[in-house]
This record gives sequence, structure tokens and C-alpha cells, in this order.
Amino acid sequence: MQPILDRLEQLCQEALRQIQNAAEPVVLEGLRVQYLGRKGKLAEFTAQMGQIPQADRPAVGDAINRVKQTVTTAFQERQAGFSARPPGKQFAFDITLPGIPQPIGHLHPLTQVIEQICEVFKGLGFVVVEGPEIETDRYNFEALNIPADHPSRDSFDTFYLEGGEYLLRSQTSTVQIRMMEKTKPPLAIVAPGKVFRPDAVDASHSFMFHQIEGLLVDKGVTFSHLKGALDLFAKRLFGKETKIRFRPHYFPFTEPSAEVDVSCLLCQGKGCSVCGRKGWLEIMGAGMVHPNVFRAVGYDPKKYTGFAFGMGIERIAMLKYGIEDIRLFFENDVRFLEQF
Amino acid sequence: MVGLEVKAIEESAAGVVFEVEITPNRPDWLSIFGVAREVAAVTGQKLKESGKWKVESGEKTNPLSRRAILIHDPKACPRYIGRVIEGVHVVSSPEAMVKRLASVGTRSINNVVDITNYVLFELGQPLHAFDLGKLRGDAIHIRFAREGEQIVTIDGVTRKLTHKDLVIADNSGPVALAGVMGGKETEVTETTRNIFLESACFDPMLVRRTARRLGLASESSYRFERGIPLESALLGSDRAVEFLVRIAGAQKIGPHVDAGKKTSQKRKVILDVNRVQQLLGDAVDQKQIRQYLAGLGFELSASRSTKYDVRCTITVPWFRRDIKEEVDLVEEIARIHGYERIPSRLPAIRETTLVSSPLLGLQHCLRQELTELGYEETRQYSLAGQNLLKIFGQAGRPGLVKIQNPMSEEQEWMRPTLVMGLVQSAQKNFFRQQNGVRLFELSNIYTLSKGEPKESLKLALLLGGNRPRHWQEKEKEYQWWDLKGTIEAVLANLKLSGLKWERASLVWAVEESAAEIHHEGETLGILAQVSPVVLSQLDIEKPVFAAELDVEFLLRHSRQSSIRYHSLPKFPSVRRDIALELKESVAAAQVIALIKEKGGTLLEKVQIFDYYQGKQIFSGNKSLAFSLEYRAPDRTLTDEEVNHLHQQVAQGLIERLGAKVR
Repeated sequence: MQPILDRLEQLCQEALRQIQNAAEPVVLEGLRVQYLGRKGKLAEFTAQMGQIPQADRPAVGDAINRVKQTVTTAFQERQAGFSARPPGKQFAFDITLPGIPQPIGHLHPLTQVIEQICEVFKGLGFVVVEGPEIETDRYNFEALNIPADHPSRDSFDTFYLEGGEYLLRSQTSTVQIRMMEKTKPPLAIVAPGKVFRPDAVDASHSFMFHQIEGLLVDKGVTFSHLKGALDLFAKRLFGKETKIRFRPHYFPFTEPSAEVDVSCLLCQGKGCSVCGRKGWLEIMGAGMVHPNVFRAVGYDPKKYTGFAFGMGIERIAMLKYGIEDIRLFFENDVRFLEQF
Repeated sequence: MVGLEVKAIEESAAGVVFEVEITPNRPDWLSIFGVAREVAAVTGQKLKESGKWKVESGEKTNPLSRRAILIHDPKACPRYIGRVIEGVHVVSSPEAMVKRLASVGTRSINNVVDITNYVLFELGQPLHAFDLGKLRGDAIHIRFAREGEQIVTIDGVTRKLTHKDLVIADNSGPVALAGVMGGKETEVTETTRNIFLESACFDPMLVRRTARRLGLASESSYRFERGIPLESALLGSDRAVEFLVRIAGAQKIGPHVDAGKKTSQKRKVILDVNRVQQLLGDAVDQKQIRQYLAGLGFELSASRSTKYDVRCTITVPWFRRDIKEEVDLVEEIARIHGYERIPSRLPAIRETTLVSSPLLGLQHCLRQELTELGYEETRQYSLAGQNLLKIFGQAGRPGLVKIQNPMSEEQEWMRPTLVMGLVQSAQKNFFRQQNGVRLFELSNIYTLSKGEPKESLKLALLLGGNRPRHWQEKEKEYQWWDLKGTIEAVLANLKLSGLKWERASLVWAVEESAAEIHHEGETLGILAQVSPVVLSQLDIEKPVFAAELDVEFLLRHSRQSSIRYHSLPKFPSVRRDIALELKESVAAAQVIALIKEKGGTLLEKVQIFDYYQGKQIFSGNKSLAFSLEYRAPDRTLTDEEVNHLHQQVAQGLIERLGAKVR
């Protein structure tokens, strides 16, 4: 009996070795037929059982079965190794190489925020307009109810052009005046644009930045409408859970005036380092248009009322995207620009 | 939330200190009493009345203690109260007063000066005490200074005065800058025994101008600039006198010498209750309106009142000079009621004839297009410094717009071209290890046109460095032709045709690369390679190409809005190629123009498909190969017809341009 068992063992080892070395599924298949097939080598052993003494048959039968198991398992494992490759053909064309680069550029984040804000107000019926950056005293101050030598001018420091006649606008409210002079009410406009204020440049201040102004004038416009419009804007821009609140303040061109806060984007109003623990972030000024402004443009303040608002685009963008330094907007590092 | 915002709360030796933001329209809040009044109005608590500090003047005092007060210009100084107080002991102030003054940031000097400061903070009335003994003559003049007059102010600085400065003067000259700062000569010191106490109102603009001109700002001038009501002067004087008796041991109190108007003109405002309610979203009722206004010190007297029209006459208290018309009252009512209690409603916006400018639409399209072509949008500062202008040869050119009050060198000039800023951005990106950059900006440039500043909207583009790296080929640099391709694509999309490329002269460019784009005789833009001289000054080692187009021109000439369909050709075209050897200097545009001329209407399209210099071509010459497409609208052209035509073209090229057909 032992010689048979030895020969079985030798066959097993031989089979395993050949299976391991099978380089292709075709070769493996050949080996399977050779060892495990109906006329295969193991089958030969089984066929010879009749020549083995009765007493030895159980032991030999066992041994044959064990070898069959081992070899079969080895086949299956080797097979699995092959099935990762699609059965059949191999190609030289490597579909995993990168495509030929067709880089796409990006709109500047300030452009994107301006467009988002304009979209919200266009949806309400506002029309987008623009005005000049180089202005005169009349449009930047007088018509906005900010007379010369008035203390409120202190908060509106401006760049003057040589010659003293022209200045760079310090707020986009100038466009309100220009539009009201050009058109009769009703009027609903938003006006984005660059503004300039002499200021040292640091992480949160810039001498040049962007604002967007909104104005609605008609019969029967109320403070409620101002609240409604700005509430919709805040939810559209920052998310539908956003809340806003109005705090009494003072602007020469609106009365009543308010500063408008939005619930902190990061902590949802609970208080964190971004909002200085207040839970609220100031984002804009707003109010009902002052009758003196209407008088300056020839609108009848007894017939018409209106609301106006203005916000800094950089601030909105910094809050929305989590940008910590305003100077990044004007450095134009491509690694910054391509994030948006 | 009623508008008086507390910015910070601190502990001090004197107790809790609130730092409060005061808006320019509420000068009545510039005092402890003013704030207390507001808090009382809002919370409904009772306010301890002021004005209970009348101190009677003593027995008849000698003539020395009577001062004549001469106001030369009542508009400049509507009220001036002077009072002689004799027998004061000038020593240090009691501790409580010192602590309180310190808590609002004021140093203690001596009891008399401290009292004037204390009353300023307590009641908002600036006061000044003069050493009576140092005043010459017996009259006090409130007048404008004469040219050439001077004063040494209490800080020891000699100030030259102009006829625009309002001063307090004795018979020999100015002793104080009205409302701004006192003079050193007459200041109260330990040796002072008798004082002259001033409590007055000065014109806000005059005080502001003098303070600004001399660079002096004081707690006093700050309050005068925002307006002190006439009534306040008496309150301040009385309160100070009470302190002087109590703390400085004043013996004899002279009577008030009160020059000018005593009370402000009563102001009345008519309130249309219905309109107010409507403006506030119908959140307040009449009772509340009355309640809020009364609490703030306004007097209401009912006037006309029908079922639909309720009007009240509101009398404005003397300390609210900021209330001028109905909207001011609306704000008072709204803030006391609480802005948060006003309901929110969406406005219904009526249609108007106003439409957005087509320029805005064009800007949007251009931005989209350029990002899709792979360019990043930049936004650069509108102001530039002399150095940058010099590098690009723009310093000293005519038509530069200069800033009168820049804060730094970098803010001196308005940029006359976007190219400088784009190249600067390219530089920054190269320094940060970018291999190639594609940038564009759509913004204004600023120049002087006939002496008037003008802003023009420009589209500027920049390509620099290497194309994006690709495993199929070696790293390649951008070429001038890449940028020209972008420009051609943008212009083609606007349906702008008939462009001529002419040589240009650009001081910052490589000479042979400088080009101008002409359309219907006007220049619409430029394109050039930035010269290595410029680049080396910016430490840029890679090639850079820049272009700038006028956007308003594009708007005017774009044919996008007048597109009409042309039917597609029904018959096939026939293609013939022609290769020519020409002198190097012959422009491709010239050859194409001639081909089109000779080819006539049956020549549908001409394209250059090859450019060659080298073997088989004489030096000084180049080879250009063109592919011509002939087509007739009504038939298929025969070979003979095309050959004949093509022969004519070749002939024309040989004769007119000296070309050799290859």
C-alpha cells in the first residue's frame, strides 16, 4: 500500500507545482484535464482500485479524495488569479493614461458672488445696472444727504483726483442717485461695482473693494418689504436655515436705518470664534430712503417711499467660503482662483 | 435693540464702564445724562431731573466781577454765558471724581479743570475756566481772529490764526480757540484765586474747520461739531458752579452774564399716523405711538382727526435737534417698538421699461467664454505706483490720472492699462511654482481725455510660460499664435469679421510682435509679446504674451444680435492647393487678399495650411501653402472651369507678388 500512497503524494506535489507555474488560463485548463479529468491521472488511480487488497481500499480511497480536494482547491485559487484579467485578449492601448489636458478657467470668486446676489434679486424683479467709478461730490455726498463739513463725512473718507473736482466713489449708492435722475418711479435696481476708501491694507481691509447696492422705489413700499426682501436674499445665499436681524443704526441717506446681521454660518447662531461669540455676523446696511434724497432727484416724497441696502461683496464671499484674508482676492494666485 | 449699542463692558476703579457707539445723528447721547435719559425712555424708569443745581449769586459783587460779553457774530456764537467765581482754592480733586474721570480716559489736572471736564461728560456741555486775574480789560469778545494773530494753546504750541478761526479774546488778544482749546496764558493753575467760567454754544462748522486745520481734536470740539443746543449752556454753567462751591471752596458767585439767545426755536412736526403705521407694516397702533414718543420727551397735541386721517402735532424737545421731519419720528417709533416686531413681507415689484444694459450681457458672455477657453479671471487693484508704470514705460505719458491723496506710493496713479497688473499676477504665480499661466480680466482703465478723467472697459488677456504638460509630447511654451487664436475665437463668436492686423508701436513689447487689430478703420485692441527688458525687471524668465481689447467697441460692432440664417450649399466644392515661395516680408494677409481678388465669387474659402523655411527655399524667402475651395451656388463646377480659375489666381500671384509656384 505504501508505494501507492507515495506515488499519490508525488502526483499531488507535481500537480501543485505545475498549477503554480501555469502562465495562462489555457495552460491551467490543460492541467485540469490532465489531473482531474475523466481520463486524468487521478482517475487512473481510482481505476486501479480493483487491484488493491480489500483491507487497504478505505485508506487509499481516502488518500485519493484528499489529493483531489487539494488539487481542486489549488486550481480554483489559480483560476481566481486569472479572472482579474478579461478572459481572452490583451491590449497595448492603456485606457488609464490621462487625457490630453483641456484646462478650464474659473470666474473670480467675487464675480461668482456678485452673480449669485444678482440672481436672487433678478428673481424678485430687480434690474441690474452699473455706474461710473469716477464720481463727483454731488453724487457721492450731497445728493445722498451728506453735506460738506458734516461730521458724518468722517466715515466716508475718499480718494480725490488731482484737481479736486473728481473723486473715486466710496459707495455704490451713487448709482441710486444716477438711476433716479434718469428714470421716473417705480424703480427696482441692484448695482454692483468697485468702491474706494483710503485705508491701510491688511487682512480685513482693502483700499479698493466691491459693493452691491439695491433700491426699490414705488408707492407703498414699507419697512416690511425691506425685511422680506433681505430675508429671502439671506436664505438663498447662505441656506434656508439662515436668520437675519435688524439693529437700529444711522446712515445719512436712509431713515429709519438699520444694520443687518445674518446668523453665523459656522455655529448657526450659537457663538464661536468666527462671530466673536455673538452668533450673528454683520453683513450690510439698509433702510428706508430719506426724503432729502428723493428731493435731490426730483421724486415726490409724499407719493413715493423706497428702501435701499448696500453690502460689501468681499465680506459676503469671505463668510460664505471661509476665506480669512481679503488680500487673496487681489493677489490672483491661480491656486486660489481655481478653487471656486 | 434701540440703537444705543454697547460695544464693550469693562470694570474700572470707578465701577462698570460701558463703551457705547454713538452715531453722528445723536449728539444728545454724548453724555452720561443723555444716555440715562434714553435708558429711562426705553425702560420706563424715572429720570432724576437735572437743573436742580441753581446756585444763587452772592451779594452785589464789585465791578471787577462783571464782565461784558461781546458776541461779534451771533451766527458764529448764538449763546455765551460767563460767570465770575471768586475765592477758589485750586487743589487736587476728590478721589471719586478722579476715578470717574479716569474711567472715561481723562487725566485729572486740578479740581477746577476737572470740574469742567466732569460736567462735559456728565451733561455733554463743554465748559472752560479762565484765570480771571490773567484776563486783561473787562470785556470778553467772541470774534474771528485777525490775520497774523497767534495764541499759545494749553499744550504749549503756538498757533497762527486766520480770519476763519473763531476765538475768545480779551482786550489784548485771543485767549482761547472757541470750542476747541484754551490758551496757556489764562489757564487755571494752583495760584488761581478767581475764575471766569464759560459755558457757550458755537457754530459746529466753524469749530470743525478750526479743529481740522490745526489738527486739534478735543472732547469739547467733538461735541460742538455735532451741535450743542442753547438750553444746555445754562444747565452746564449751573452744575459747574454747584461743584465749584462744593469742591473748590468758591466764595463769591457772580451773576450769569448771558449773551445771545436763551432758547432754541421750538420745532413742530406733523405726524400722519396712518402713514406711519403703513410704513411699519401695521405693527404699531396709535396708543403705542403716543406712548413711545411721550417716553422720549416728545409732546403730542392732537390735531385734525377724522375717521381716516389722524394727524398729531409733535413738539420736539430741545435736546433732539436731530428730529427734523416725520421720517425721523418714524425711526423713533420703530426702534422703540423693536425692528424685530415689524412683520416681513415680500415686495411685489411692478414692471418698468428699465432694462439691463447690453454691456452687462456682453461682459457675462465674455467671462463665460474665456473661462471655457481655459483662462482664469483676475481682479487687480485699480491704482498703481510709479515704479510699475516706469517698468512698462507708462510713467510720464500724457493722460495719466493722478490721485491727490494716496495713502502710499502704490496708490498714486490710476492704471492706464490692464496689462501691467496681469503681468504682475503672472510674476506672482511663476514665483509660486506655476509653469504656465492663462489669465484674463474685464475691468476699467482710466485716462484723461481733454483734461477730463475717463473710464473705459477693457478685456485683457495673458498667456505665459508653458502649456500644460502632456505625456505625449515634450514641454512646450505658449506662443504669440496661441493668444491670437483666442482673440480670433472671441471675435468670431461675436460675429465680427473683416479684421485687419497692423503693426503697432508698444513701448513694453517685443517690436516685431506688436500688433493692432483694426476693424472698419478703428483700433479695437492690441496684442504683443512682453519685452525681455520688462520681464527681467520683474524677474520673469518665461515668455509672456498680452493683449487688450476695447469692450465698448466690441458691443458696438458685434453682429450677434443681427444673425440671419444662410441656406446651406446645394452643390459640392472643389479643392485645389497652391504652394508659393515668397519673400519673407510679404504678409500672409496680402497674399490672401490677392487670391480672393483673383478667385472672384466662385472662390468660397482660402486657408493657409503650411508655412515652411529651410532646405529647398532660398534664404530670405518662405513657402506658404494655401488650400482653396471653389463652389458655385447653382451647379457643380467642372474641372476645366476650376483649372482656369486656379490658373488665373496663380498668374496673379506670380505677376503681382513675384511669387514662385512650387
